[in-house]
Amino acid sequence: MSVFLIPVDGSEYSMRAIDYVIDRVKQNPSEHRVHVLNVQMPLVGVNVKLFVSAESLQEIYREEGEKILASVLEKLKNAKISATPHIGVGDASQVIIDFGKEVKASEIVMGSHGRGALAGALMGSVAQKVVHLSDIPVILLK
Amino acid sequence: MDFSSPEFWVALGQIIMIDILLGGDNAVVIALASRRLPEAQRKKAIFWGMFGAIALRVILIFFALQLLKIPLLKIVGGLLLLWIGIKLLLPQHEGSHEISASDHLMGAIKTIVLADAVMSLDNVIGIAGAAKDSLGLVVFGLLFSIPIIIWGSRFVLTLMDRFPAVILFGAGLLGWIGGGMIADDVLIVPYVKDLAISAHYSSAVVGAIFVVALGKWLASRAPKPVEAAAGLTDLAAPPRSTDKENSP
Repeated sequence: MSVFLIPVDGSEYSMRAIDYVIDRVKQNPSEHRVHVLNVQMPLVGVNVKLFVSAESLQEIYREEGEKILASVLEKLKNAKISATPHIGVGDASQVIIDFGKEVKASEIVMGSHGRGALAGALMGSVAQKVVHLSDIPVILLK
Repeated sequence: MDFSSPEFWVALGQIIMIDILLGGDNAVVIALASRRLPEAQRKKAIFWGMFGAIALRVILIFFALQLLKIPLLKIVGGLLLLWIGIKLLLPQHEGSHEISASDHLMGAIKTIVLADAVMSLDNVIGIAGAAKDSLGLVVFGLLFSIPIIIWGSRFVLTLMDRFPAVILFGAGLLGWIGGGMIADDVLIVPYVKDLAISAHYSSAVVGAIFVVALGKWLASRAPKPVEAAAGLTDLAAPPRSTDKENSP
């Protein structure tokens, strides 16, 4: 049995990761576990602190996360694959690695590029960091 | 100040930092305030919100340089920067006086205008304080803030999240500029201009230390945010109906 963790951000690349897992799982879906994870970036700016409360931030993370997960879950459902959704908040690569341990994933499957290309170019992409830091095998979809 | 003086480059760096700190999340606040509006109205609200954030900065800068010559106003501006700096170090508040994501256009506009006014005011005072009396630097600060507001939020949020030291440094910088500004007020200058040490820089140092120390102390007393206490938070947990619905 494989346990897949698929971090998604709504980008085309993360959809490829979904396609890849569907391909691997569709023969006998009951033998595998699929977890999809969206990581929300913490909104830490001072003006956000001035104008938005902690509770509504949580609500915002949840809603935004659900929006991104909805299409992914839909796609998996159409392929007759059941998946568990997760929404995390924080430094994406770290949260992905933590969730990988939490759900005892056997593979992390993700797109090689996500959103935030500018920030990625300047500070290193999420995928790079996950590959570098994870003890769990990582599959990158290009 | 001219290109060859170190003060010029220090001020330039300070202004960039101020713009990043105080302009970087404006788009987020505007987006949050308009998130309950229907799609078409939301886009308009975000556009006009950003437009307002920039236009208000232009207007405020125009007045700020004149206004800051009025007695007391530098003290008030400096105190505002100290307060913002402390606020920067504190965890998200749990309180109720917040902007609400209104589902009416008028409600969202009111919220955005108020937020724009506050966000622009602190940014403009920060720029004016860092630029001292250099008009060129003020204009630079204004121009630099525009792309930061429009395109910068993702980059800025990633930066602050990845390098938390930016926040500490930023708070210190706000304290430094605020402190220096207070000492430059017309009311204060006559008392301090004959001192052996520079009142501006002494006050700047005190301001920076004050903000960092008080901010850190208050943050240590504040209740820990939920997510930190619970370890790994899963906002999709417990697996709700979505999971079951998704089962084949």
